[in-house]
Amino acid sequence: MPRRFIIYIIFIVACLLAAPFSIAEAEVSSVQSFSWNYYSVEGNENNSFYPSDESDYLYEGNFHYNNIFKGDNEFFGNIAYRSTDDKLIDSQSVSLENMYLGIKSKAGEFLTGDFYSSFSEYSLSNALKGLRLTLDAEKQSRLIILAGFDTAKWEDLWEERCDDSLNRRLVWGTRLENNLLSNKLALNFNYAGARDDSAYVTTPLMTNIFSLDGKYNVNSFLVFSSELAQSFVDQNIDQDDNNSKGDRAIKLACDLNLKDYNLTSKYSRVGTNFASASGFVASDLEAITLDGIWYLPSKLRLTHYLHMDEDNLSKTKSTTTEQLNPGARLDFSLFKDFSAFISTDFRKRVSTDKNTDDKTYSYSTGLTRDFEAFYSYLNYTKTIVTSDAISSRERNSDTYSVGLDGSFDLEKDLRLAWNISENLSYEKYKEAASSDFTSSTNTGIALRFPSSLSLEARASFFDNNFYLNDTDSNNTQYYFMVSRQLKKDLSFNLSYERRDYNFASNENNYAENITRASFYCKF
Amino acid sequence: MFRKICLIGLIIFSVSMARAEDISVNGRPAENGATLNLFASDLEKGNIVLSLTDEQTDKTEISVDQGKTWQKMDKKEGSFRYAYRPLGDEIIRPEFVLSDNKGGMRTLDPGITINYQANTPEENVAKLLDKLQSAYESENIDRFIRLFVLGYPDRIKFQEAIQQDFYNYRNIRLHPRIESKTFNEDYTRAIWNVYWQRKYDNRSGTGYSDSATITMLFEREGPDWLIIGMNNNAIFGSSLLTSPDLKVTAGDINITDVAAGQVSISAAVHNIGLASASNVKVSFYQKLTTASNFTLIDSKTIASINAGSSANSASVSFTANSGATYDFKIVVDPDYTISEGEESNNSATLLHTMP
Repeated sequence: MPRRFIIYIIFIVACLLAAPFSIAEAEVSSVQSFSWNYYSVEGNENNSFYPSDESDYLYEGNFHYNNIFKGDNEFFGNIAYRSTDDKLIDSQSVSLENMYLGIKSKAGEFLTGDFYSSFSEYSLSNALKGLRLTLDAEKQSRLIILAGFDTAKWEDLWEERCDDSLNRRLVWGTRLENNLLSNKLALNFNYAGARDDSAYVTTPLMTNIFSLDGKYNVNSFLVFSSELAQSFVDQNIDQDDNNSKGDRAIKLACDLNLKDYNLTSKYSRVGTNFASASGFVASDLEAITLDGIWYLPSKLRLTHYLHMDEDNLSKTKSTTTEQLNPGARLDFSLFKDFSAFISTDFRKRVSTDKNTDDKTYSYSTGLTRDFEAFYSYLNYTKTIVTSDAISSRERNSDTYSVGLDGSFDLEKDLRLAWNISENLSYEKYKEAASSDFTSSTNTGIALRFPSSLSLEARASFFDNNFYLNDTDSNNTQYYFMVSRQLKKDLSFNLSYERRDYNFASNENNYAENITRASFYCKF
Repeated sequence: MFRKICLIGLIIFSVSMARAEDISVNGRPAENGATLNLFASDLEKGNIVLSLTDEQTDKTEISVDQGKTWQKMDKKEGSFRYAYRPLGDEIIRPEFVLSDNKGGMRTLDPGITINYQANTPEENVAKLLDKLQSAYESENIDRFIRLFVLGYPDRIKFQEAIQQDFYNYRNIRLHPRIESKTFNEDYTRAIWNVYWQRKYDNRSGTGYSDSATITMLFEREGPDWLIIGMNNNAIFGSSLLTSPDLKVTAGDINITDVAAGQVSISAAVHNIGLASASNVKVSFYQKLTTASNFTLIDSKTIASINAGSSANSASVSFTANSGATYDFKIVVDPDYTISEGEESNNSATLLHTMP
């Protein structure tokens, strides 16, 4: 572990521990939990994620510190840690889960450690370990400057754990927010940068994004918003001959909020080589979306949508795929407090080279009623899948689902909750002229006593009968749990779970038993 | 004028002399107009406990349902207490009626909002992951897709990819391991890194397993948390989004007449998926058009085919009677060792008469 990180962690811990003594009226809270897990697997152990016969411990804790001093100034911090030998929970024996320290005043905030910042859709939206400075100017403008590592674990910063971690990246950025025209217009400038760590990827990239996003409230009915972004991606930055590619993204959106009708419309075009610092943006796509809700008289509600898009914007690919997805749903009331809905959805994907030509038609209807003692629903969905490219995919499916659930007081403060549901699905393949049939049954019951004692039991049964019957399976799951608050800040939880998996080929059958005991303490 | 001054003075005096009540919720002081977030772990024996201290009050009643019903508060150690048991997520705005021992009565609306959520944001996101796992394992596309926002990036393709997963894969089992959890300041958004492991069978019953650490972006919409983005997703929708898809057609079979009764056969194999495929086995079969079963001639292996590329197999030779008509069949990945987005486009047959 490099010296600078040890010093940093000692600094954070020392600040958190010393702060309560140095400043009066500090608020320190902590949650500590200890769990013991026992796993056992019967049958073919290779099929299970769990170890065959293993007992593991898990200890987790955190300290949160908060103090308001000298008026509105606030000093705060948090440290969360974990120790376990359970590799299903953490690959590390001891790890820091979350850590930050900050100071807040009217003028702004300074934070170091873990934080999540979101600038805009096309620029930056990352969870980082680093520094963030926010400067406020009387709610009219705000400046944010940040830099940090985008990586899952603190240990990634000093240990070689490339095998089970994400790409590690250095991310930096700044955002200037401006509220103009009596807060009717928001105009924001964003800059974000990201550089891959070459220890984690073979072709590290460096990305720089400049964007301008805004929102204009014309009146209480109409809001326009937009973003225009330009990215520059330097490919394989470790090589001398790195190749820079620039591309643009644009978004225009309009929200119409009338008394009885809401409509959100959006046009977006994200270039083939566009990249954001976060990686959540779908590039090479031009899309139009229209989503609306119309509240009609007599408790009628019509929801409608139209989504369509096209890729291959730079025309460099050999094929272009067009996608279309319109749909609507009508909710209405019937006699005797019954509610119902009917809905339709159509999805189409077609490529110019005809390797893709799929259409899915879906029709649903449902009936619900709240009987006060319990709530009930009955749904039916018909789906028709057609494919001109791959005929074996063509199929019709009918899905029925019915469920009841309710909760009521058996006596004062003794509460009972229960549920039962059934799903049946028939899927008929046109080419094979054969059907798959699957069913699942779920049931559960929960009791909450005045003493805070809670009991819960659940059972699920799955029966999968496929026409290619080599993959047939029958699965069952049982779950029991008891929990109680022993004292005001001390509670325990004990659970047992069993999952049985039975396949057509008996040699693959296995069953998992998971027993957990946990204590939670809060002060 | 004098009367106005006296009236204003009286009002100021009344306000300054107004009694100040101390209200606390589960031990936490609540100032007028404050909003308090309470979670299940904050409850006292499953209750929200409201406490009011006012020395001049003799009797107090409380309403937590906007004045529809009123309950008497119990006096204990100088404070009036009322324990309310929430049934689920609730927003409570308590109002009070205070009576003193001289028969005076007044109402008090402190403007306090208690936002009770049975689960913490962390527990709600964990529940969302449970629902995601359950819907994917039970291959229920409606329940699965409802966990994503309507504006999920490239949603149409994603939905189609999930539909193809449920067509291609059987007996799916998932196991998530949460690597990190980070929320924004007001707990309306979160980024979690989740290491997903998956086991499944293909349509022929061959078992596979894979894994990926996915960066998942969540947003709170009303009482629900939904997924608004995923980065490095190589699990959900992998049959369309990240798997190779090997394809061969009759037009890709190349049969060359070498000599009388002898041909050389090769095939061009396309990878129309989004991931490269390595060690691609190509098997060549023949049968007389009058025969019922194919017989293996030989198999060749192509080292690698990149996504969106094609590669030619090495050729095999076949010798038979001159003038006989044969069906030649090519099967790519005959042992199903490569998990593909589509397994039904891996074979093609071509009729040929021997030279």
